[in-house]
Amino acid sequence: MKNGFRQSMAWLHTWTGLLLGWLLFAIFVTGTSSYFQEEITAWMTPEIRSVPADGPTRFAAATRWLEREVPGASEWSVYSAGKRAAGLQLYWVNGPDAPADAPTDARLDGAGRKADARETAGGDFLYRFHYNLHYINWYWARWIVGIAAMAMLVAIFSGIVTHKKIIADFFLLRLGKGQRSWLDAHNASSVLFLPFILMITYTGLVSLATHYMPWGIAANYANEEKFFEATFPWPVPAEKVGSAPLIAVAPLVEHAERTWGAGTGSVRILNPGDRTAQVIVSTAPDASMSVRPRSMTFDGVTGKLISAHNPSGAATATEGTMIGLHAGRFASGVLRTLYFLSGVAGCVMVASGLILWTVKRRAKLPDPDRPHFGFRLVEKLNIGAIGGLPLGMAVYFLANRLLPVEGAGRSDREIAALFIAWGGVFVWAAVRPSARAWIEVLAVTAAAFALVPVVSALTTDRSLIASLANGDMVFAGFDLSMLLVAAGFGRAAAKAKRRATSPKAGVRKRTAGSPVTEAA
Amino acid sequence: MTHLLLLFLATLGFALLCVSRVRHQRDLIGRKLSERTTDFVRWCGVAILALAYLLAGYRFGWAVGTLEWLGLSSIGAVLTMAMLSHRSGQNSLPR
Repeated sequence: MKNGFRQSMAWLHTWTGLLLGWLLFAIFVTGTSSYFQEEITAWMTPEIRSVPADGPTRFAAATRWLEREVPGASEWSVYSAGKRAAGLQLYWVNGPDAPADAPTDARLDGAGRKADARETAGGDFLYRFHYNLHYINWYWARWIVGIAAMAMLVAIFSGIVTHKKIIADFFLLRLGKGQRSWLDAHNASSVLFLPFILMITYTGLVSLATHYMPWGIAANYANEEKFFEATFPWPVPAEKVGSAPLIAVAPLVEHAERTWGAGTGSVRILNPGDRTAQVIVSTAPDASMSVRPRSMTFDGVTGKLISAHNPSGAATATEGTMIGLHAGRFASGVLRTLYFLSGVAGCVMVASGLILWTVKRRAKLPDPDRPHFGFRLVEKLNIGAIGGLPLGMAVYFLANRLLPVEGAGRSDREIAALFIAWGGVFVWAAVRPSARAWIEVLAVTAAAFALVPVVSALTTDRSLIASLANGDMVFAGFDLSMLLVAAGFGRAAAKAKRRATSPKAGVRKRTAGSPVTEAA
Repeated sequence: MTHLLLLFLATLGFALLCVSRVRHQRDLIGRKLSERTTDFVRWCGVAILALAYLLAGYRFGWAVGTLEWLGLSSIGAVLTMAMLSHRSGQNSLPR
């Protein structure tokens, strides 16, 4: 290794950052977008326009729907993702008389009608991608993501050591000065947001801890199933003994919500319409900072409270709170926005770090016009990874509006569109000169994001203007965010173009036309 | 409303911390401050950030309040940085 502790840390920072940076960028971008997962899903199902009713009312309406549609089921469950979710997700277990291919799930809108919306994976896909990836087995994907997160943690700590003037340069951002500016941007996005970046990386690892370190479970339980049964009890329906009317669900939900002082996230009903019926009411994912729900079990005929489950124990509370802190489901408007902005800072940190690798080395190339293979590879992968995913996401949203509304496998085709666009950028980067490819990819991405609200206005009746007029903050917010992102990419494209057309790119210290023209 | 006040306090706190750095004083306020004034400004910055934390904890509870404070502090620091970057761009012209 090189001489000195700081140099060796710099080496570690550079190479862990580079090797896993491309994947980390994808994890950060999709993870950041997931803070608005419910809003993205709402935008991607424009047919649903109802506003959610309060807890007791909507769960009672869902129960009535189930009573009417699948009275013979041995178990019903109704899930809500919380206050921001537009609809309810229903699952049931069919009774023995039902045909084998009978449906076992449905979506209801906020008014309790069956949701008749286009098939889409919505924001859920982006959320799942950020830890399960796609097209590969989730088990190995989580290992890959875990290795990336661990590398991130290494890069953060080695980066703190490497950064010589963390306090002295705290507020410095010198624009228009090539490598200096990239380093400043990299430092600013990581140092000013360090609490968030440390928290999100560490808690991300914690949320999959039992996946990475199953030995604690292996030592104390016969198998993983036994562990999950003990940690997250999941009662199953008893033997049916004879019919009895199901008690009204609304008062039970109301009672539970009053006791908790928090909203309901799910209602499970075992053996509905039987004397052994039970109603299990659990808290919503956004009800508390910890993700572990509290629950109450009621007798389904008399409505008597049978038991109340409150996950306790320091370890459970710590784990649940750390995961909750990561996912931020409890966060309301402003805090959610802060989570999102901090996530964007994380994306900027990873992207600027990756770009810095090439900027730093370009100045030292023996012949800048014909760089060596390793340099070209990193440059191309940077374009594909940093430029490709955002374009893919814009195409994902466009595909949602442009693909025929009917037809099976629609949600898979939306996802395929994302990856085709993303892969296309890698190919584009490979065949074009890098400086040109950056400009083109950034410009196309800007155009694609700008097109999203336009195409949405042409294909649905929920245009930005209509949304603003109706005070529909979710749709208006989504469309406006698309325009903001488009403006950001447009600016980046313009900057890249200016740099490429200025006389000597790379080694020059000043950028023509930049606001900072310091007398040297 | 509390959020706006907190953002204001976070930005003010970091702006004062920034002013208390001797190398930024010319860019930010056009002159150098005496050592005593610089120390005073630094403590004012720290005190305002601490005050913002107390306010956030009191208003939102210590768990959520801490998160709100950290998040808004990051934004306040970014705004300060943007201001410094803008002003040093302006001030360096005549120098």
